[in-house]
Amino acid sequence: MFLKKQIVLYILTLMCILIKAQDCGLALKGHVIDDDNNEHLGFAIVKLIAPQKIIQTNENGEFVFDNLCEGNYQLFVQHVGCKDTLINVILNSKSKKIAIKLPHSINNLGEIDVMDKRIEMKKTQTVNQLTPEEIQNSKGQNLGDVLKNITGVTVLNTGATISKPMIHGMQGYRLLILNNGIRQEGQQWGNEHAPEIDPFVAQKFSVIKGVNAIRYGSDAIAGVVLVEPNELPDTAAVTGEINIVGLSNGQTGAASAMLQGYFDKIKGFSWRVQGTLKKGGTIKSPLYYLSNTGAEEQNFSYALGYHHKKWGAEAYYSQFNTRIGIFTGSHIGNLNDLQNALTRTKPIDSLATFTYNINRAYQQTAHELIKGLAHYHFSTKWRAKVQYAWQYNLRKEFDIRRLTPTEKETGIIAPDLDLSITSQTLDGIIEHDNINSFRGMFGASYMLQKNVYQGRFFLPNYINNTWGTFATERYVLPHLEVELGIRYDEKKLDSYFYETTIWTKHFKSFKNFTYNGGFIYKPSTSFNVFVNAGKAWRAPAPNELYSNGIHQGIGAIERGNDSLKTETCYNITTTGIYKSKQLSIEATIYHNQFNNFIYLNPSNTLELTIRGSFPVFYTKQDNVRISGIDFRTDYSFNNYFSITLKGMIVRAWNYSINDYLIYMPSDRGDLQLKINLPCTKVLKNNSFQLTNVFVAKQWRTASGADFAPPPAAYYLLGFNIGTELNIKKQKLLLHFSATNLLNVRYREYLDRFRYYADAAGVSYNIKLTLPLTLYDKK
Amino acid sequence: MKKTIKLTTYAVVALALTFMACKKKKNQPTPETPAVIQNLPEVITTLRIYIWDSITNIAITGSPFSFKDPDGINGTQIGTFLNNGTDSVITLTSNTTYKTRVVILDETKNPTDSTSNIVAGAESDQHMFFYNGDPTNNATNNGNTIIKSGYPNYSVKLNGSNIRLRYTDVDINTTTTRNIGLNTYLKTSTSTTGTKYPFITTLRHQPGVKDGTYAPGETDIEINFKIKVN
Repeated sequence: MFLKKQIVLYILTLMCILIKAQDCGLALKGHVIDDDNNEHLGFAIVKLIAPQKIIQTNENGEFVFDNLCEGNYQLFVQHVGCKDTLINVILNSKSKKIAIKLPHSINNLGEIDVMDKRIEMKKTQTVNQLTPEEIQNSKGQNLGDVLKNITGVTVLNTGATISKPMIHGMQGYRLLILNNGIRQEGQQWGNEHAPEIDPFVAQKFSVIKGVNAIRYGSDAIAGVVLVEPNELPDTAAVTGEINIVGLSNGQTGAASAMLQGYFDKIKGFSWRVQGTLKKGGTIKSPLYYLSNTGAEEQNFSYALGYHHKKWGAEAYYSQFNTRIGIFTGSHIGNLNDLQNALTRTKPIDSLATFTYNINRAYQQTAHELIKGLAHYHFSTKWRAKVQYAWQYNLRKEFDIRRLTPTEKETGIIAPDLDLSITSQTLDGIIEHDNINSFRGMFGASYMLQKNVYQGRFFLPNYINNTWGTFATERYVLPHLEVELGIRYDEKKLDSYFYETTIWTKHFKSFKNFTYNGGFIYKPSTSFNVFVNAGKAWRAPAPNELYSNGIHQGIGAIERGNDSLKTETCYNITTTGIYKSKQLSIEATIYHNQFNNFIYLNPSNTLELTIRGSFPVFYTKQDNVRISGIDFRTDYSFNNYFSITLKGMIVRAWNYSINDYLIYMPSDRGDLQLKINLPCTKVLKNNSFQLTNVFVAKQWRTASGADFAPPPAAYYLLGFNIGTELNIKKQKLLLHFSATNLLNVRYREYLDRFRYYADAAGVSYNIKLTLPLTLYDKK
Repeated sequence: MKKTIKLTTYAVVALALTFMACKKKKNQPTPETPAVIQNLPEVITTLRIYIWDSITNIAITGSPFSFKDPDGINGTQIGTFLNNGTDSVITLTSNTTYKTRVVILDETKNPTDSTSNIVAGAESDQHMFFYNGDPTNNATNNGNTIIKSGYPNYSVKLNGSNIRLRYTDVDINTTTTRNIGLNTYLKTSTSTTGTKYPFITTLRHQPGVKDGTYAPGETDIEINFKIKVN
């Protein structure tokens, strides 16, 4: 085995030597240390990306790569409980020694901190972050599909263009998305309302699974999704990146560009500008086109940062605009239409052809975010941060219907659903570093949210005032960390709507405590155990209280219930992580016990309308449990060949009706086989990857709660070929991939369009990434 | 070189800032102010079927048979049959020919708006009425036996009541003309000895896809009338 590895290494080295012998034979020495306490990090995994070499640091945190050639290298460093870190190293004619500081796996305190020194505490839950490779492979997809790479995360789809992330089978109000440190606030109530975030904005995608209520708000029940850009640059340079993506299915094209810099003359200022354009046409399932499934996006953002010795500030603005066609085959007038659609083998308009045009029905959404933050360091131990954000979300939905004479005349068509929501959030935090082995933080947050509807009533107008305060402290020992936290929240909700013809105001108030306790046990540097237990609660949302009307496209009347109580969740999540040079295993077991879980329950009542009779769904509260297991295993046989196996199981049970909870992800697994090919001077980081996704049939469904039986199990095959072109000093990342390579006909249980049509067929994808250095002072 | 880059940088930043002027609604209403009940583009509240003897021209008892949903499909109020409570029965005599005419109204407007004018006129090529005799057989031949498909005089036999139904109106499409179904003939045969059969009246909205069959498009109106032949 040892000999084999030597030979492999020898061949690899030889390859580089052969190309330009006189420049090779350099060594890159390094030292990995904990950014927090300057501890030596032994047994950290250090991956040299091109040529691919994986080694482990010794007990003192040191490592050496020998026989390297001159050039640019990327190192990917991993250590249990630490944030995976990617750094660039330039080897000139001399060997080099570098120090790598690893931050802890989540930044409990600041989201984006421009200061050089930051304190970051490990969560007592693990944080799963997408690797740069996974981010590269999922470029051009929407946020939900990007996050799907993390085990335990699935998506709730409305066709191929709308996807909502789900953690452990929970989504919407139970899942919190932090976009650049700010709670994403849109119309979360609809299953067809995807988060309004451009994945090209972010370079970091992380998921914290399990109740996470202390820091982020009492309603972070399922977990938290963190979508963050890189930190603003702090060296005098102007750099950028251009991304171009083409997907054959839907003939989708996306282009994104980013430019960032650090002002040379005015010290302390840095900036970033970014924009994305995306357009896709009709998606094709294996046998037919899915008419009117085009989608387009126009997004941009910019950031300005300043930092001084003791304080720093940042301003950020982003805008997201999208227009998404709703598959014509899913348009139904009433329950008979739905039943007819279910019996068809093909949608009625299966002869549709490709087009970029988006017709009614479609949805059009705009989301704006303005954020400002400031932080101040009182001493080396104490610091404070204040953050304010303003968000505006405008959602318009256009149905298929007859136009009025005025609409025909003017061509200005009124939306059928028009909701605008403005949210303002203010957060303040004080944090302290090690004081007698104690670390902790205190904070308070306030949110004012206003929702206004125009046109058709589905959701009332409301004003939502929420405030909360929290404190959390941790006791840190060499092999054990123990944390306790408490939070209090109060929510006041004023809702306004017509009762028959009178405009009425309804007031609701909810308040409650949240607790959390957890520990990290670290018997060795290669094995850690995380245990976290907590209580979280969530106030019923306005739609759950007051919605009243036909939910278009579902063929059902939805009725809120204004006597709903708060939903409470008791959660325990345990994760074990083992990492060695060749093998890494991570497994999470969780259990959520809900009191008064709020959900829509189909009733036997049929209600008469001019369009026939409709089933009525009432908002209901029951006691339920959701538990399960996620795991991920990575194994490298050698420098060339590695495999990854991921899987998840969710089990959900409604105690009150003694039946399964519906719309839960079925068991699924994902096997990836990866081959790294030898590098050349021009082509580095060459890899070939096969992906195999297995999804079982969801037979655990409540009887009579769904319109159609769950679809069959399916298997999807895909591949990805990647390389990095190096010409002189310029890099170009090239990827060619295929999804649903076998063009399998399948329907996913968690896709709303499964009632009407097959999911998307094969797609061949090309991705180009061009990093740019326009100016470098060095 | 350095200067050019710096200028470009400033230009890009300046350009980005111009995007900041995002289109906002003027006079954005606040949550407290009553929502304007907009002139909702499409409200159908009422469907009426007038039925009269084709020879004597005398309306049958109970005509017009009506269903009213006071605030339409998107409202919160329940719809009801106006004549006979929940079970509106059309009673015909055996071996007789009747004429029918359907009227659809928007009674939320003042004066009442007749939607049937649109269905009969400008958008007649996007709509078609169907009369279903057997709801369990909805997906196939719409619960009927087709006697004559296509244009003109699309006609069916309603399974169950054995009534023959013939369309007598045509739409505005001049290349592929179809029937509409606002006006029909109903011809009864033998008595159904007191048994009520379904007479489900459906308006299908079929913009661009109308082909004389039930399947394309979606349902705008569906009223479950009952019919009986004495």
